[in-house]
Amino acid sequence: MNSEILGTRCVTKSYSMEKSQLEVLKGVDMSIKQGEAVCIMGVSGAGKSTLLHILGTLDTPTLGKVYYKAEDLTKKTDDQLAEFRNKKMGFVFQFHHLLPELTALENVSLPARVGGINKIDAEAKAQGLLNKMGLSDRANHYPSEMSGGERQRAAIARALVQDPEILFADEPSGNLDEDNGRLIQDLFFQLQKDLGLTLIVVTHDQDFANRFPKIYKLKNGVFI
Amino acid sequence: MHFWLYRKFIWQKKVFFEPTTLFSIAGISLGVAFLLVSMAGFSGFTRSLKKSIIDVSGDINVFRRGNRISDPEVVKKEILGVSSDIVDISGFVQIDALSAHAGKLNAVILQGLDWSVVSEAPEIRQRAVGELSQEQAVDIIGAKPSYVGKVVAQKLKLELGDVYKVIMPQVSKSSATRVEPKVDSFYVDKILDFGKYEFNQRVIVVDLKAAQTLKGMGSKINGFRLRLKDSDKAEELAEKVQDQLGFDYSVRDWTMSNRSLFQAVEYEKMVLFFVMLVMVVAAFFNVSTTLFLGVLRRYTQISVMRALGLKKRDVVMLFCAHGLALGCVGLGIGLVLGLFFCWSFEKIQQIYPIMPEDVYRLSAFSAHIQWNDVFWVIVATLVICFISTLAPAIRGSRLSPVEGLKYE
Repeated sequence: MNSEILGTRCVTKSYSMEKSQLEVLKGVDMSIKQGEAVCIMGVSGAGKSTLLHILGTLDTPTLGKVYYKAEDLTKKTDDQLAEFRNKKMGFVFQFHHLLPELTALENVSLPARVGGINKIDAEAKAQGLLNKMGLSDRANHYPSEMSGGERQRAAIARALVQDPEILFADEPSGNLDEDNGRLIQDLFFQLQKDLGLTLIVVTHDQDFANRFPKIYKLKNGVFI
Repeated sequence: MHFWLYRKFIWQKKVFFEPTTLFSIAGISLGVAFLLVSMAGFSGFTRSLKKSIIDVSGDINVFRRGNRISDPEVVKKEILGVSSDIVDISGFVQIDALSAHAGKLNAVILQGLDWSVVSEAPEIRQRAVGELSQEQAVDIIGAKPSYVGKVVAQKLKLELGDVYKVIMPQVSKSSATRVEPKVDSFYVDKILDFGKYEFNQRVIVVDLKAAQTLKGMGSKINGFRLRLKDSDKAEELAEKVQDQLGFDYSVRDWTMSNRSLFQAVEYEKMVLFFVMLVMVVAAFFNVSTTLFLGVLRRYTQISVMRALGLKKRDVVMLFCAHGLALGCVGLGIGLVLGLFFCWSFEKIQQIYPIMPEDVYRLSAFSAHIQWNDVFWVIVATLVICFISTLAPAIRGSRLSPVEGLKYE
């Protein structure tokens, strides 16, 4: 049986408003096993993106702990977390968030270069991933010269360039048309199967969610 | 530091040519240029003053206390033995007298110097604003040649070749209440701009023997004028000469005659440096604003890069590098602009005298660029630049990546 790769214990997230506290997450516990494909569902404002950001160490919980293989991530410093994200995690956002000043190849190789890999090796790896995503002829194109689906595939390639253990996706097909959305969804499951990735996806698309073996449903900051 | 990322992400043509960036660079350039010009102006003023004093009075003057020097050759040998840095030594006679021409009188200092040396001295030739040709000089009979300060010439309405009188009031030997003036005639061989107003309005240079005759002092002299290889060693050498000659002699170097003025100029230069530096500081507020704008505009991209593993210190360094790059470009342009202004300043002064001579005591001065001034301008600019980039850079690193990722 696979062991836990990522988990939360009583995670609470609240924001200070002018006169009150807005509690987005109210003591969330979850355990995600290595190689698992997990979907976090909920309506807008349910706290699913907040939870994804906390799991992805982009945000910190107000209370509670986040564990990576029994290691408490809430005790790490900002720079340690940046390095941890670079080496262990990949992110795909609803908006592709490719840097407009960089070509597809440079965008995909960006995490590798930030992680200290030299240009030649990083770009060789990036080119391989672009080929895999069917973007071999788009390597030297800027994001503005690519279609929405191509940008999102390039963003997925970028998320994979450091061989992460966990792939996070926040509404990855939410900004695409039906055909491209379906293509991206298939790609995620294919990658999860081929690379043995742990896949954590946030969506409010019921059809997409139904394809996951494990679904966490969030409502008013708690799992239902 | 990810220089490649900086080059790709921030240092682009479109960023460089943005109005905010251009205004920032223009502000720094002007600040640096004016700072450099003001420093060069003060250095030029000091240098012109120093040169003027040395050209007229020499680096070191040696006098015999309360008496004239009756054995010049002996004393000369003794002085020359002090140091090999002494490149020239010449005896001189100095007389307070009156000069008269065209019904006008002017108090003057008559300096008697070895004419064969003076007439060939490059520092005198350079200062000549008018010169009589040898053919014209031959026609003048009964008068001796002289070099006249340009203000003396103006006051006495003297032109080249004009003959004028020098009158030296002298108490009669027969009666203490009677004055028997001694008079001699000189003609204007050269009109000189000594560079310093006091000299221009009082100094007349004549042959040593003519001055000795007028004063009736035989072959005695008032003192020696020394020129050195390096004028900055004058103070140190004056002490050595003083030690050698003993306290029968008074040894004065060029720094003594205008010490308070030189100190005041140095002090003013320092004050002005800081005043002008405020201008540079103000210019760097523009850099800060440009960087703050850059941070806000790139909020999403910074957030993405932070999500991908870019550390906070890398973000700080990206924006610091940008600020420093702007500062360096501004500094470079400012230095070039400053050098151009200094050059123009000199050219403009040659056409239009921009300094009232009787107020500033110098008829003209050129901007003189000293490398240590340039060094301090560079250091001060880079330090201010670095400080001004820190706040926006730290702000950029502290932005929450989550907020930046919410929007496209």
